[in-house]
Amino acid sequence: MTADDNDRWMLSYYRVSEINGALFFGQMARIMRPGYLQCQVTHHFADEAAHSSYWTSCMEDLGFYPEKQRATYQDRYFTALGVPANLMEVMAITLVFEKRVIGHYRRHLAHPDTHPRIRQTIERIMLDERRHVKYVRQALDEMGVRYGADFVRRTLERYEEADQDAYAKLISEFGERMTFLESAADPAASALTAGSLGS
Amino acid sequence: MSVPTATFDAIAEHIAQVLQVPRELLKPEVLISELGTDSLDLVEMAIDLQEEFDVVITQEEFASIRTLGELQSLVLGRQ
Repeated sequence: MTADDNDRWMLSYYRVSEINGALFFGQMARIMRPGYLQCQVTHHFADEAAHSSYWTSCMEDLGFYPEKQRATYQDRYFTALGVPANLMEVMAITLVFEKRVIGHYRRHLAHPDTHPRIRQTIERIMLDERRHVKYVRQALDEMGVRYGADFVRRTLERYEEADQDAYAKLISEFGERMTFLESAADPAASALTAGSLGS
Repeated sequence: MSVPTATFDAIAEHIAQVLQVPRELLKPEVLISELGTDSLDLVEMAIDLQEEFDVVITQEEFASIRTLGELQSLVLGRQ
């Protein structure tokens, strides 16, 4: 089993998205008040940086180097949603984003031709992504006191709607690169195609 | 933890630190769009001010203000 050009493009995209995620959470960790959430966000920052390292090593093991890419999935989010202006909005966008990432990685895992080394990397990353969803959900629940539970709910709904559009545009724009994911037979992947989140 | 009052000086000090711009350039009439920062820096600035001055500003409100003076008024008005 060999990796092809699409693998190189896709893994490079994953890698640079993880790098941008690390930079974003690093900025957040730098300014947050001390406490539980600051600890979690700092951990999240470190996880994203580690994930970018995992992808870099994965590509090296597969015999190629990352492509230089700048545009990431986060960029699409900020274009579609506008930049978040408070901590609750950051957590809400993070929850929607993490769920999307889990769904997308699950879809990649479901493809029968996924290289074992890529599979190993995704599975390692997924462990962290699930933990991220858990702490962000908890943070959003607690933020209902400060921001209003209804405002938190409406913000999540707005972001989830925009996420559907952003992901559909990604698939449409890079359809040729992602054709292999379309054939993934995982039930969760089918749910993603139908528009619901995968986790 | 005591919360400082959101005077223009206090706000400008924070913005200067977060965005790494000279404090003396930050005046009430300066446009936020003139600060020459990318969108993530603006997120960091907005959240830093809310954490420091214990206020909440929404995405919609932040998008509607143009100058640093307007930003200070918004933060002070929320305290």
